Amino acid sequence: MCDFSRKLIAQMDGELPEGESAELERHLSACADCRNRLATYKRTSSAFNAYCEAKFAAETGRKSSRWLPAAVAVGAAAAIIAALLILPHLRVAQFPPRMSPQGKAAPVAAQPAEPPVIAANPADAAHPVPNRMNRASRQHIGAALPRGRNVERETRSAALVQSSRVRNPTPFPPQPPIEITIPADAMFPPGAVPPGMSFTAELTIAADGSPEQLGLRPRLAGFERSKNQP
Amino acid sequence: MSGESVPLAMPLARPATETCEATILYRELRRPLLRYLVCLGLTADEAQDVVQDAFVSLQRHLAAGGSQENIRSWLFRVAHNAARNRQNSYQQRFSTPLDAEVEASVIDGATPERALLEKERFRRLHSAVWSLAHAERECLLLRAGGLRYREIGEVLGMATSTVGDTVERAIKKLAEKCNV
Repeated sequence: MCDFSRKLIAQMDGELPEGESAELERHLSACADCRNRLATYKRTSSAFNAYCEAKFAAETGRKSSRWLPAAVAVGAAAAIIAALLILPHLRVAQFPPRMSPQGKAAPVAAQPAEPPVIAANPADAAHPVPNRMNRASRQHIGAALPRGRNVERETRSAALVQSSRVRNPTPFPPQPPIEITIPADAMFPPGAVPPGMSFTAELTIAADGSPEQLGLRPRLAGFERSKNQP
Repeated sequence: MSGESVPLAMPLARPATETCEATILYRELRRPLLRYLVCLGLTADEAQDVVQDAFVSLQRHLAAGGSQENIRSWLFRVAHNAARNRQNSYQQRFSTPLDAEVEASVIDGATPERALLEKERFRRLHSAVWSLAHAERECLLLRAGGLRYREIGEVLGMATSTVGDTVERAIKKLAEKCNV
């Protein structure tokens, strides 16, 4: 080991006086052993810095990770609600416009042959079930409707369409329900809800397309009511 | 946090300069200070508290007309002493094994073989770091925080030449044990 080896780390840290530093540089160009040592010290120094950074990142990350599941759930719920608020506006254009007081009907927009069923889960999209809502949920949504209102309101949910058809005959054709099936994994952290659980969103919108009411109905695969059940 | 009352705003005399100076220092040194304290063994919350206290002390120091020379080492010294005063967690966490989170952050995104190698290398480094003497570890941590030997000496109350010797000894030990 040569005499310069004691100064290698100080040289690496820029702590040597100019004269000594220049002398060491000249020595390094001639001494392979010192060059190797210097390279080893540089790698060690980098590894130590990386270790500090990883420890710091882990400690600060651990602090924020406590809030991560809640943040994910809130974010997912916000995204779903935003999607629900936007989708009905897209459907409004498919309805025939209201009759004018003079009895002239404005041009009728094209009606889709098959009503779309929007499913967040591709498996659900493959098997659309437009009128799957049970009686209890129909009554629930129907009860939520304000009484005494005329045709100023309409609904895109099956239950609401059915109830408004009875109470308020409108010039609008009955519309199939929009069902948005949301996998539970999209709303809650993994493990927070049983496997197979999903949620069906029921959305009520006003005639002007603005959202009025939103309900989320949990559904557990394998526990659906059969058609024969009350 | 100390029990003593702390000024929430700068005094009216000389407000602009000190606020500006303190703000610049805060932006520049907050993260290195936090990292130093966390690597020293404090939790993230404890480190936040200590850094907060250190900057409040800095404001008071500047407001009282204190010297602005070597302010970086002054801040590290205040934070270092506050960390030392929290001896319980400091001592306790010095002996803790490598956290799973630290390992995870190192191998994040690596292939399984690479992850295994990195994990093993990191374990060896961790063990080597914790086998260093306190002064050696503190010198290396302050050096990793960007302090010069003279500043490290001011923080730890050591001569500059002693810092040089300590850093050299510590790096040689790490290189020998980790075989990097």
